[in-house]
Amino acid sequence: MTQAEQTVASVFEATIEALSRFDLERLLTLEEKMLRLARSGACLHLSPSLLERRNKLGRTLDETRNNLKVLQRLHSRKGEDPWER
Amino acid sequence: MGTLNSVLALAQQALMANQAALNITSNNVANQNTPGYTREVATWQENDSVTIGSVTVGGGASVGAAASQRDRILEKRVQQQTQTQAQSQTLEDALNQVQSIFGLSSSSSSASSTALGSALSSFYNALSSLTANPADTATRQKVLTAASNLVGAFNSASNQMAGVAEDLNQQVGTYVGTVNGLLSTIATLNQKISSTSPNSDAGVLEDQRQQAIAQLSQYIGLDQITNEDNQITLTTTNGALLVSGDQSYAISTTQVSGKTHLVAGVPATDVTSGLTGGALGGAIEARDQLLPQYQSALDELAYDAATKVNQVNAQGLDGNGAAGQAIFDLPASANGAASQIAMATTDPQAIAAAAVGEGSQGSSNALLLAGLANGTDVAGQTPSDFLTALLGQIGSAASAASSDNTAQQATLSQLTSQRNALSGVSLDEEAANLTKYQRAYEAAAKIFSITDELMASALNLGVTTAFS
Repeated sequence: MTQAEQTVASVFEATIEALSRFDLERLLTLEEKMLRLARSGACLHLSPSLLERRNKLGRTLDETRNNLKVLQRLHSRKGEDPWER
Repeated sequence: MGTLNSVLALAQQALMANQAALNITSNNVANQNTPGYTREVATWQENDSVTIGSVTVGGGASVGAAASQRDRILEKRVQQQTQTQAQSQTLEDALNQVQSIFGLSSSSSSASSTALGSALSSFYNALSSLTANPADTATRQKVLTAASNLVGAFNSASNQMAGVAEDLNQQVGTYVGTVNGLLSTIATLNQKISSTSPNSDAGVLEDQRQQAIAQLSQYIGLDQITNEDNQITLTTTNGALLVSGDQSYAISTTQVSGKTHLVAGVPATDVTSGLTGGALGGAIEARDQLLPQYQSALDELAYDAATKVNQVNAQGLDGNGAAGQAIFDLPASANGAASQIAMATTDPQAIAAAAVGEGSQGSSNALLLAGLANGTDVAGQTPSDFLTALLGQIGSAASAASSDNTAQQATLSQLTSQRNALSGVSLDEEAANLTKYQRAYEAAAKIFSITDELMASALNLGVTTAFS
């Protein structure tokens, strides 16, 4: 595995982990790291394990997006009467 | 495949943690208006590290049990204050009813303006008028009419006070039914909590138990102890056991001299006299202490004033020249006099205006009768002064109860605000969480899209590609 592939693999893992915590600061750091890697022109070899990591992040994002949509709908309905219990 | 499995497990764990956090926020928002609901927060815990290939990475994070934002001491203070405030509210309500019986209000407390005060003055004024026209039948009739009005005012005030006492008595019986239902609920929740969360916060179950105790606090003063199994033992403020573990001990009622008394604890004991707190404490205090005190004073006024009138009337001669008889019918003692007092005659000639020896046209005895207005025959006071003192006492008590209730309500509001600040759901806070989640999602999605574009390029160009 090349240096670039190891970096991408670790970014996938770290992104999944940070997303699980909704750790925005960590995610912004990872985003910057990926942008730097993309700008560096490094070579990337696609391996099954890298694709698998990519798919897992994709599924995590899909689930998170769906959950957020439900939450936003719920919140918008309840938002009419804040603080009342 | 060990490496791939590790990645799969990590992603799965991330999803579960992520969803759990969203679920907690979702639950908080959904329960925003649920009485007694305590806001929950996600508690993150780091998992053991895993090895992927030659690299050891963190095992991700998972959400531990959602922690309720609960302060047990604050909850207890809210419950205690609820008990104090509910008692004070019931007392104020009862005293306001007594005030209204006498026509008193916070802005009008003059005894002479009340129905009973006016009837008392009118009666003595009618006797005074009789001194100028002792033989005049119309004037005599006015005395009888005023006497009858006074009797009616005593009867009415007394009966209305008895009605307030009876209402309180019925309230006591009704409250007991509600209390017993709540005791049973708390015992059931105790059982569930001890079996599911003996050593930690039981979340919704504890919310439900706190809500039940809060409701119970509206009705009765409580002492509570939390035991090692996270169960709560409840007793009345005078020590009668109500709930122990999964067992509730229902309060029963018994009638004592027409009053509903409460029997509670193990062994069952009459706890009525020592019970304080909650609406039951207030109802019992009003029924057994305040109302009897006012009723007794009213009886004393009716008995002493009317007895003196009868005595003086018996000293004189009536309009027919015969010895005077009683004007009022009274019981043998003061007890119940205000409700039982009645007119003994409807004959205007029965008023003994003349003294013995001066003939039936005389007015000396009428002067004595009229002078009773200024006699100190009711507990050393004139009837009017005694009534003024009684009404002043009622007004002061009502005013004090109102002030006390206002203060207790303010304290309860403060405590409730403090409790809600900690445990109540703030939609603003949940909205902030939601925004944070959204931004985190967007950042992760951006990372995904950057890598996806690169990998798409790799797929298009072959197994190796270069970043551009």
